[in-house]
Amino acid sequence: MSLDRITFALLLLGVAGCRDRGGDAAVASDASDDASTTAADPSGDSGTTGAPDEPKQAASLRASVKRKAPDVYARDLSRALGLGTDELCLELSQYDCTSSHRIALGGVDPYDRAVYEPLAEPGISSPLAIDRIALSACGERVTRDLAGEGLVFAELADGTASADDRAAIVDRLVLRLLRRPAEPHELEAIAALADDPNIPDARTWGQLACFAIATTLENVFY
Amino acid sequence: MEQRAHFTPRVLGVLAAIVVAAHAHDAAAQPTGPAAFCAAYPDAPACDAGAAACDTCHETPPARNLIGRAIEEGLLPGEDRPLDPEVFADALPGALLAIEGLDSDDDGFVNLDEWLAGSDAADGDSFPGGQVCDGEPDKSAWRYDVCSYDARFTFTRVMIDVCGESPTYEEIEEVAAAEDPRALIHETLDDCLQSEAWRGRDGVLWQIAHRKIRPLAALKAGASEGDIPLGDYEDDYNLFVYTQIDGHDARELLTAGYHVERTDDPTTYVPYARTPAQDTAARGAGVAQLTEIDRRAGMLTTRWNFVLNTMFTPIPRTTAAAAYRSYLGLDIAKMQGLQIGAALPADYDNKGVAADECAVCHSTLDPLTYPFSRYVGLGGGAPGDYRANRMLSYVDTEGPGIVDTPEAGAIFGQPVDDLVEWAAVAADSDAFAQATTRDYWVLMVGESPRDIDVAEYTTLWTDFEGDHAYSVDAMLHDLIDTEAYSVP
Repeated sequence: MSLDRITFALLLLGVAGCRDRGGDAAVASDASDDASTTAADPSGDSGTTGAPDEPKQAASLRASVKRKAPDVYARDLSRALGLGTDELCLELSQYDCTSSHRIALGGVDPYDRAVYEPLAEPGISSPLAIDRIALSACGERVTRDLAGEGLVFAELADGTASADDRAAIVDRLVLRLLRRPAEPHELEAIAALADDPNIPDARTWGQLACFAIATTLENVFY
Repeated sequence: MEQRAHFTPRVLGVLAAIVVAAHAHDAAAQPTGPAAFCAAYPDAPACDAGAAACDTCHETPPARNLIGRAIEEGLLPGEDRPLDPEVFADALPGALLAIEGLDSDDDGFVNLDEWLAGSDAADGDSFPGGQVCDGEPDKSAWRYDVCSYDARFTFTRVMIDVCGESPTYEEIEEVAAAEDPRALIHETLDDCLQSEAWRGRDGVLWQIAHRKIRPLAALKAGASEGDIPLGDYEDDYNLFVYTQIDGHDARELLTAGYHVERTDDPTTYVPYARTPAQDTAARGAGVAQLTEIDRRAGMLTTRWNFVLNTMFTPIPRTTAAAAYRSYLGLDIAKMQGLQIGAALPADYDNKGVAADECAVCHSTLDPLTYPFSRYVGLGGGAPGDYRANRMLSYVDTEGPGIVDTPEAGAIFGQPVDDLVEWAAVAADSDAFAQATTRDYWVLMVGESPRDIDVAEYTTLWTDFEGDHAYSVDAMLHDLIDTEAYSVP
């Protein structure tokens, strides 16, 4: 797949992923009359909400999240996709990506480089490192499933995927990666990406669906 | 200089900052400020521990924030600076009263409301309101209950923070559906505290230790030896972790007369007490711990500590400051933990420490350092070797006055005869309990305690040094029940 197609597909997935879900702490409720909590924004702005028929999650009063440490992110991905942590991603086919990009991923390198604490702010390459690991791991899972393992993408075995198949895959991915059932609008949005002419085949859709979920804020932070 | 005992270690530790006048012409915030603020506003959340934090009025002291600058304008204008501390304290309430009705950070809330609500009146992003869940929230429709303890959220956090991986959906739902989710979560914490992710090599506890031990592969002795092997810092990690696990007394971090061996796969930590000769025979001169047992003080007297921090220095101020910062949470470079009114230091090594601009810090730092001065770093003996007459070695380089350097010193204004006593005072101090608790608070909650967290944080560290007898495990069980940790 060409870089342009991947980029466009990623942009589409990014738009879909940015739509607020019920569990998104950034969602603020309206300061409506009866059943409401005090919104964190004193301006009274209702902020963004989920899909029109979605229940409104009140905003977190503390709104403090932490970024997963590199090994935690790797283990979670490994467990969700049924891959060893050493099978997720290799740079130059040799070097474990989590180790290679440890500082960018929020880790430390105390012995050789005297980096004793994580960087206070993520670097410009931090999201790129996450993306590389997720894209590689998702691709590996798709490849193995198409070869017969059938752990996550069994429905893609024949190279096609009906709407129901896609919904089942997305639901499975969300359950494994985000540890909750998928919201209806998530199923719809990610499944519908297969209709995009820039996504050439079911295999690519599967990899990018996995990538989109694996790189959500909900999976990178906690 | 007259001794002014305005601060007990308790106050110092909770607030972790002492402000010292840096410029003679400025109305500098003085150590009486925090207590005077709380005398005026005793119900302010920031005063739960007795005195307000220095960042109520300051950025890094003595620099003033919006509140500090607002106070400055109305605080005895025209009076010569620096103000006498008592004059300052008497005038401060009036200056605070004058700015109560101002909105210094322009966030829509006047200063008084912010002080009484516990938000930061100098930070426009911190404001009262939005901190109460009122009405009848539809919690059944929420992903997370942001108004109270959330079992799913807390369980997931504990699993990630301590076990190093997220739980599965099934595991989360099992906890949420349990009759007593809290009990299950505490059981999970107990299991996770035994995990390799927590206590194993390069696990979570090692991550805390990195900034205290400051390893350097090039100087490592033993396994994976560096180019210039001088000491094995893995002994330090082993001792650090041992004191933090299995209900051990964390004070032994500073008071232990033993060292710890580690085996991997699975990881175990076993203490041992060998004399330098025995350890040399057992492990070789390149890695042996060379401080006699009766001169040991835990992490303060490891070979690596002396190699890295003391090195060739007769009066090892870096060693003392590193210990003060790492284990007591007081960074002298940020003017924290300074003993106001301490006597001017004698200049044993001709470094100019008695000059006005230097004595501000060195009147505290030098007495803090003297007990470390009898332990060899590099040169003149083996690293960690205690030598009562060590100063004689430095006459040629430092001058004859160096031999007058005492071994007796002081910590928190309390005289101590030697480093072992220094360590005992430090370990029993509120500062140690606060610093240890703070390390885990930052690790687990993800940030330093906010103003609204003062009450919970204070309870946590006082129980740590009280009911929990310095057991980190017990403290963590309390921590995961705090609102700061368990409410999304």
